[in-house]
Amino acid sequence: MWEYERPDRGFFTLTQKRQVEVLFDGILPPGRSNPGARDCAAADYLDYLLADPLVYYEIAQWQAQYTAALDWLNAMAQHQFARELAELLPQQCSALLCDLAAAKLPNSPESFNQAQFFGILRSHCIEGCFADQRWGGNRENVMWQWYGYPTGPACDFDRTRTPALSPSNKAPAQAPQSSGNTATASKDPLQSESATIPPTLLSQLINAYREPKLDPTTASREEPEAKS
Amino acid sequence: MTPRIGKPDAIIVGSGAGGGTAARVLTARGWNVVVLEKGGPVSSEDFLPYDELHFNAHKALIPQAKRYDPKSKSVVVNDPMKYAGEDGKQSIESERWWEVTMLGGSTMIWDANFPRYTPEDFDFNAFNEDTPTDNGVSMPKWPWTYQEFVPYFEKAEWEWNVSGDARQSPEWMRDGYQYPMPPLKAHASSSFLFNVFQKYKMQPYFGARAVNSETFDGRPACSFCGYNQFFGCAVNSRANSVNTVLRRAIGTGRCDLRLNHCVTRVEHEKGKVKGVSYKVGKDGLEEFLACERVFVSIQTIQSARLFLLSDIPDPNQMIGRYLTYHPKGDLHLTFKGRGVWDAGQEFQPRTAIGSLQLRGMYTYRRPNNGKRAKGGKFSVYDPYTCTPPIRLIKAASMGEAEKNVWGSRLVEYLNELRCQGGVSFSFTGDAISVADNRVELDPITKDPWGLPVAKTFYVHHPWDLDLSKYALGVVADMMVSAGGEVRKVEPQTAANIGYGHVHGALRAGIDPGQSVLDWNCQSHTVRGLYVLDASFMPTAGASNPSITLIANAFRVCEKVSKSN
Repeated sequence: MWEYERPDRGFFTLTQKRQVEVLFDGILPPGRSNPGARDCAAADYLDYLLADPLVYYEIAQWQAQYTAALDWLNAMAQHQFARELAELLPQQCSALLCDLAAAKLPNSPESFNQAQFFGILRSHCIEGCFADQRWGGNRENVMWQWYGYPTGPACDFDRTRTPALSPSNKAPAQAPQSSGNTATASKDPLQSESATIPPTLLSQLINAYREPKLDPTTASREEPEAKS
Repeated sequence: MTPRIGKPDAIIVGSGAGGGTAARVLTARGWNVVVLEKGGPVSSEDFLPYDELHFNAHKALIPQAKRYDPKSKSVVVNDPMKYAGEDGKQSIESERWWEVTMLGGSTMIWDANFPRYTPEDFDFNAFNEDTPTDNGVSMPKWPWTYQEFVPYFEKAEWEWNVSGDARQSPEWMRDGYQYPMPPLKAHASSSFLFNVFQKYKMQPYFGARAVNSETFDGRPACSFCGYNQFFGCAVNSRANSVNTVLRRAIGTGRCDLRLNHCVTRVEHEKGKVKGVSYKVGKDGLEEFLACERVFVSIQTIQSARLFLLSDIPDPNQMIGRYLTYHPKGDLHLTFKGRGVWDAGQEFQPRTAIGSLQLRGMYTYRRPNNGKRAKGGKFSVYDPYTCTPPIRLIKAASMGEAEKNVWGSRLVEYLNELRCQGGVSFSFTGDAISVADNRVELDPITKDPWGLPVAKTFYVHHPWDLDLSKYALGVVADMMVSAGGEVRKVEPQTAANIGYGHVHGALRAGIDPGQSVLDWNCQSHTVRGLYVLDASFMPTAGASNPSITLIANAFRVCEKVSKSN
């Protein structure tokens, strides 16, 4: 069995890691009822991933890209908000990421593709939140438990008790609004009805509505005139 | 351990769907065969742990277009395929995830959807009026009928251990015929979907899968672990070449399986095959194995490449031409106010593999002029289903215009997934065959065995794009009327860097001027050379191609004779 050996130390400096944490929280922001990238330690994931180029061929390129990009984004943060990148407020970080995704930031490093780097950042953030925790992110399975993966029901997330999660008895029937109110389970008549039809009956239902099959021995369904 | 056979009756190149089947049929007929497989051995251990990042994001099981070289501390081009781009002038590296270089080939990571091609697929023009007539388009009738394939479909379904209900399948079945196993458990969304489609006179059904629904043939039932396509099955409930046909071939004592043997050339003289040249390992010397019968089954593009590498006489410039990919399309919807599909004992877990199929648009009448048109099929899934989270969420969209969402919109997307029922549709449509869609040898790049890599030229015909868009639109309308909100609509685009449903390039046919292979999939110009993968298909058809190519391998190998 293949096993991932987490490197002894990460790739980033302390400052770089804090910068990544801010950017990642902009991509998957924490809410009152949802874990964000920092709750998952997604930056830890990236820190360890970048430390070993043998794990995947793109890692060597990512090392160079992150080193250059974080320096430059820090300069952008200072220029636009008079703050260090690692100290940006959430809405400032959002604005910076918006411009990066749209490739609208000035003075980017030479031959640097802003939108492409945003894509890399976004992908790594999602991996840090949703990959198996052996990779160093998804701390204590916080994201999988909230999301309801791989098998259990989606759980409520309580920031005051993070990272422990309390399983909700039933998966809530409606998505919480952006204000972050906790969803409650509601009885859906159609849903409960469908859940009571056993598969055997289902297949009988389907058979009952099946149309006659096309018999290739007696030519085609609507007697088409074959073209030459 | 397999016996060493010095003078085989047949050489089989590739140990996947076609090659494994050939080994099974030929050894059962008393032939001694050598199977040459480029890849190495694998065991269940190699498919563990179930880890999406390792297998799916880092693509641990597919040929790597590039790799990191620790000596030079740089990325080196390793084993790519090239794509010429929409303008035909580029040289884009493709990872070709659908080709797997290992014992058992791509059957080790497939989705194991086993719908038969239908009478409609065997004769496109009979079911499609207004077929495009532009230069280079050719849609021949297959030189066999569905009825002729039926006995071979049945053998294929029993040898490859299919689960499903033949009485439910929309294609014609022989009276009394049934698959070896009943269908897999239903997904909890099935009755809802069934009710919606029934209003529109469409009949979804639980499709045939080469996945065990119960203990059968020494293999366990599917555990619904949630890691299906692109992952190996470590518990062996999903069928592959190794745990079905190849195992039985080896059991005859007539099958010499040689791993890490890369065939570099099919040798021929005066229109007859002489054997193959091969290398053992990437640094091996070229060696020769003589034989009067060579069966190639290494997937469409690689088979065409091997024909080109071997200078197979091609008086009509047909080798590599009429390559087809199925036009596909993705449609995701969410249902506000409807809770996530509850699993429970009776149903598959939400993360499982689905199996609901919809062939309601396999053929249809065009709405503007009422003319007959050939369409395609849908595989229907819960968005959780079949798509582990990293892959799903990286492609998160909140409607047609809002792709790759992030920030508060990403949180909204995640909340919909975790709180609301959702459905996703994966469309597979028929394709227009175009001469210029083709395989060539790349003039520059070589693979690790020192051979020129394949270069594909491919632009979908506008007919393909219209079909994909229309089919997604029809189903989207139905789902929206049932309360769904569209989250993703991705019809086929013109450029195609590569796709797993790949056929043509070595078309079979009666007329040597219009085909590379004859009626029995033997080269018109080199006797004794046969091809068993989907490259023989004269047109693309509109279903997952595996069972039809396997049935064809049964058909060919049961008829073939030992000498000219």
